Amino acid sequence: MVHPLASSVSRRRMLQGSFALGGAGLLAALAGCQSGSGDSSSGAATLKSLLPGDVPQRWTEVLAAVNTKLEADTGLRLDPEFISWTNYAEQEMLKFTTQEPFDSALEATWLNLAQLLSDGALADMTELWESGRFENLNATIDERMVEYAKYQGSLYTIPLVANFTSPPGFVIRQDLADKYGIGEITDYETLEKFLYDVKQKDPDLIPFGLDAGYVNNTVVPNPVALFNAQSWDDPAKCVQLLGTHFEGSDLSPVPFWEQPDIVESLDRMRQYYLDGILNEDALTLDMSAVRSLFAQGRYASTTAGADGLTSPTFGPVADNVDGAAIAQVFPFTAGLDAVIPATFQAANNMVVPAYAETLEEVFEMMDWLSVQENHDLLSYGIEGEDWEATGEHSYEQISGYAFPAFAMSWRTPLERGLAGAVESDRAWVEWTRDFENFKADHLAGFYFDSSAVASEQAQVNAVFDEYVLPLYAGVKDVQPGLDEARSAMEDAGYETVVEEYRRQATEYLAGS
Amino acid sequence: MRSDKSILILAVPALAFFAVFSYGPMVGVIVAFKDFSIVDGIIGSPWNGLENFRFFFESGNASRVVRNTLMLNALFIGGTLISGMALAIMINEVRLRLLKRTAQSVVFLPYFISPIVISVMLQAFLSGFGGSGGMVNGLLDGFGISPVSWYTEPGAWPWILTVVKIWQMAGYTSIIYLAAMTAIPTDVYEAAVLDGASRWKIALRVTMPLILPVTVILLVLQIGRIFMGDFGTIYAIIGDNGTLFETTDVIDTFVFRALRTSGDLGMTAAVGLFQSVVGFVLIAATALIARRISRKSGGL
Repeated sequence: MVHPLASSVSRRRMLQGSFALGGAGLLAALAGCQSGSGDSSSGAATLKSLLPGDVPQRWTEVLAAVNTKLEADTGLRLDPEFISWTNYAEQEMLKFTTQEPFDSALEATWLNLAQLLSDGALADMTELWESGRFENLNATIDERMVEYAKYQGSLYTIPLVANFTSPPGFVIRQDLADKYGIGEITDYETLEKFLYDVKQKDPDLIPFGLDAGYVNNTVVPNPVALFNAQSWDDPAKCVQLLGTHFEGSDLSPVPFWEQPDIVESLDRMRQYYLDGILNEDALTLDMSAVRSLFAQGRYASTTAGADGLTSPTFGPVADNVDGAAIAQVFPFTAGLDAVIPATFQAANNMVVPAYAETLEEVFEMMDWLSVQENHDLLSYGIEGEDWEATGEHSYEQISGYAFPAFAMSWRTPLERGLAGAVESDRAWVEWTRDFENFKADHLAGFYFDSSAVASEQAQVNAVFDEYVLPLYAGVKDVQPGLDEARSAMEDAGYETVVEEYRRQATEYLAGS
Repeated sequence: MRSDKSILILAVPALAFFAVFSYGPMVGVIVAFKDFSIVDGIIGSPWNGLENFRFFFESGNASRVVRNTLMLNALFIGGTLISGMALAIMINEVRLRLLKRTAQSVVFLPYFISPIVISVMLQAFLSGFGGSGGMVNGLLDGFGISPVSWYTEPGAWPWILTVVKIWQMAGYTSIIYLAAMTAIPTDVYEAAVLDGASRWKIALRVTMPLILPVTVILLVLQIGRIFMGDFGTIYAIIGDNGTLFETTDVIDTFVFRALRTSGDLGMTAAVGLFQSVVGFVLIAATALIARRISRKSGGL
């Protein structure tokens, strides 16, 4: 059979044509990349911000109101780009890599912060922060958080904080605890009793719903872990890297398999798994699925941080299950009298690319957002349409508007609590906003730069996901699992990574 | 000359697609040989030889992900071709027009279902909503068999994924076979009927041999992509469940996870380049085989 193109179009012409098209396509793509940041087509400079999640309900109306006021006050406009949570980290990294024009982004140690700092990809904010020109911003973000956010003495991130730290705790079905005669849960033994009572007396419910994201918080204390009973009684240890604790003044590394409290907790997790206390699919389930299943009444408890979101997130279970009520459980036996170590590294930060020329404008916008009225407008929406104030620091939600405030407008003194929040939730959030309840961990302020051991770090991370996280979730037998994990981690270069961490941490401590 | 132009115009969309999305980005493979820095970019970052390949080949994962990629794809190809052909023969035997069309539509439907939806459905079947029970375990329980913790049993997953793939693709493949069957002359069937052949014999001795060339084409096309893992389906179902990596981790899922956990474009590009080079060799070999088969069968 003769190919129809063979007789009339030469292969060379075909290739030339495709290369020309490819070149044209690339040029068009590159040209497209060059527009956007600091766009001032309407006369006002427009700031493009990368934010995680879906576009909120009523976003068009709220953004229009924000921009009307922001433009009138500062001459700036805001144009956030919402990127799905599932690929925010990759998308953001690609945008940095291709130097796509944007002005700010949410960043964190659990995203790409370490690499961006190590590569010098972030704008230095030290001078502007210290200039004193942005009084509102300076006044609403605690200076101590700013100090601990510094990398090698300079500030590259604006910490976004609603509290000083947010340890993982529990939300439980208090109506069930009351039904079993347990009442308020204040220690680990009572929590365990609650979980087993649920299993025995309400077998249709799963006592605890665990998602893949929180598996890392089950046994390794930082300084508390959900199912590490010892950390409840003595929350003193912050485990830093791959389950390793750097002990004493010489930062002697102790791997997780040599820490008795962690090994004991692994045994406990395994038992819980075998007894049906935990869901079997923790390693594949994401947080939103767990929250949704809790709201449907499938779980009797799950994880809830001290971010003020417990009541709005889990409260709806009362709409689906007759008589359901929730309570926040603090993961400390000392309750709200506990004083715990913290690294004071904000879980969320705003960063500006080093190549952006709008750092000052971003500071102006952040300063504007540090005024109560403006903060409320972006965080809660249009007053009267999306929310109503019910006190100086509380509000009632009217519409379904939910902005990811943690990525831009979180300011501890300006945050409002949701009216009707359960008392235990409100009390815990208050506790996390008091600096006196925390003491600085010896490695607070230290950032690990893994570029010198990048290959080993990548291999160890892969091994950690495969062999260690299943142990943390209780899905593997502990002793053979530990032997397997230890051997795989050592083969992957665990000791090299730990030694590099220790070297840098020692240098940091010597210099601080 | 006029026909040259019209043919070229017809080819422009496909040429543009491949030039922009396949050939243009190939410039980026140099990242695999660079100590990539975000600030210095692809061109400015320093060269580091084969250092980026160390991560993949020293990790001990290389042989495993290559084995999984080839094994899973072999199961997928075999499963979808056989089931697609069987389904097509069955649908072809249906004489009632409405029933035939309805059957075609129903079996084709799973092809359009998103991997995310499939993963949720599978979860409900295997471990129930919320991670306890599940329809399959309920069934096993009915037969007095102990329930299985499916999401921690790596051995079962190549077969589970194959069943999912067959469910997803058999209908699609059957449509291709049905199209080929319409080209079979009716007098061949009439002759077989006159010779007293049963419907089963006709399917086995007439239909199957005559649609064999289509099977060969489908096979060679799929073998050409055998080094590409089905990222969408596998990642949506398995996610980051480390207990299942032993049998389900394919090159594409490994690359994605490596990028997410290490954030190092150089190392992930190195794994991607390895995949492309081996994939290219396979495609070249497949093209040679296809050409030979084509010559033998007088041009397919």
